[in-house]
Amino acid sequence: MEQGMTRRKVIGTGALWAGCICGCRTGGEPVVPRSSCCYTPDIEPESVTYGRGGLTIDLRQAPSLWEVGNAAYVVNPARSLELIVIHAETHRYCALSRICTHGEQAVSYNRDRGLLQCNSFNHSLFTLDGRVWKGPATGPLKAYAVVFVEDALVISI
Amino acid sequence: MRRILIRPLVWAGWAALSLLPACAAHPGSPRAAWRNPKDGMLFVGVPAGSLTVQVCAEPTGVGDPERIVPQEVTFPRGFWLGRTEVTVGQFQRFVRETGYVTDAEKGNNRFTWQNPGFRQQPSHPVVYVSYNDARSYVRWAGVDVPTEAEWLYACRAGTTTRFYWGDRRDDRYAWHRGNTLGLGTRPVAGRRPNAWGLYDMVGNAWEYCRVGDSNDGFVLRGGSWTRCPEYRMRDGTLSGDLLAEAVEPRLQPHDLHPEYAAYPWDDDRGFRCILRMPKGPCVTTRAESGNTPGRCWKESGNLICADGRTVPRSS
Repeated sequence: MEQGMTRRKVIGTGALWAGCICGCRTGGEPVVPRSSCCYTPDIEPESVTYGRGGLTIDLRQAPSLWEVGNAAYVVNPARSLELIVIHAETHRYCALSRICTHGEQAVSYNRDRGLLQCNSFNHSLFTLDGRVWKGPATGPLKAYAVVFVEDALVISI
Repeated sequence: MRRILIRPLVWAGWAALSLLPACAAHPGSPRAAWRNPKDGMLFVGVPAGSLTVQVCAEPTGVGDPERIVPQEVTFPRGFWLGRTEVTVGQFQRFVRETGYVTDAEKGNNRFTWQNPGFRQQPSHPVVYVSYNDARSYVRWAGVDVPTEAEWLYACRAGTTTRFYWGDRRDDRYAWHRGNTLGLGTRPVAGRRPNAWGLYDMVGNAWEYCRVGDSNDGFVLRGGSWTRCPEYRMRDGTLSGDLLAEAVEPRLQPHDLHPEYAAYPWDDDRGFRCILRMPKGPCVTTRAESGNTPGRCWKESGNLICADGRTVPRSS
């Protein structure tokens, strides 16, 4: 009985050490920002290249968009650019203005409903192509064309 | 044999006790409850007491800055407040009995209380009702919509912390956008109640409240399933705790809230009912009183009131 307890203790301690080693290994990897219907992270700035007709996002440098259901803001005040980019489905991305047409507050992506929701009190809802799903907003969100090319998103503005 | 004799007595006693009008208790007495026969809503007794609220002081001169001053609001008789928000099932009963058509339905709105844009069950709080719809309902049910002060007093249940459970957000007490995943309302009374047994005073559906004695003015309190506790604003900063804001003890003049007018109904707006105690004893018979709290009846020459008062015949 006493021996059994000791063995259990040894196994338990071993498991703790193993967990610690795993934790240490994963601790070195980058923390991937995850969006929620309440929180949208900014895109990794190093992943964005601005061109004449729009911008390109190098997805290898944009872990915030790796997971299906995630969204990220792309904001560039110098270019008056305020976008939300959404990884809607595998290989399907959407880019829209992130400013609600009613209260001019930012919108977030609700992955469980597949809708964009204004963060303001009146929380207008929009579909992924920008149409109003529920008011009080009456005007659509501007949607931009997105082309997925070899680990990159080309967004035409 | 002895057991056989005692059992009917116990059952008879229990039956007699259960037939006593629940309203015979004062709202402040422990476990006081009353069920409205009209819609089946269970009301909880809110004891007499007072609450200090912040109010906007009237300007004393031109250019006088806005001042927020504390003011004590007293509820000398207590009142009865719906244990939960009015549910879809209860609203259904109202519509069935009266043929009522809501404002959103009259306005041919895409979404209505029957189709709010997400799946609801009869136990969910009714939404897509306007303040006008809420007032029609309470008239039918023989009750009222609480004033903002009444609502705040009942919500805080004697606490002075940010929320009625403490100072920090606790998902065991409230449905909000974070823990509903923004998918819709949840059945009422699914989270923990406050100290007075009231459910969903924070979250699930916003609740219409009267502004003072006004008939048309209203505010919304309590937050809802569409409200994040906090979110990133357009400039990147985090907002304050929006749920705490929805229950802070401050009386708000409704004209400061143009956002309410922007949309007369929404997928997260509901209401709760109140039954106030009458100011003086009302003379009626017990039969007429039914089981309505606040009513009084003649008994043994005295006037017995459901709020616990006994008025001798001579007075």
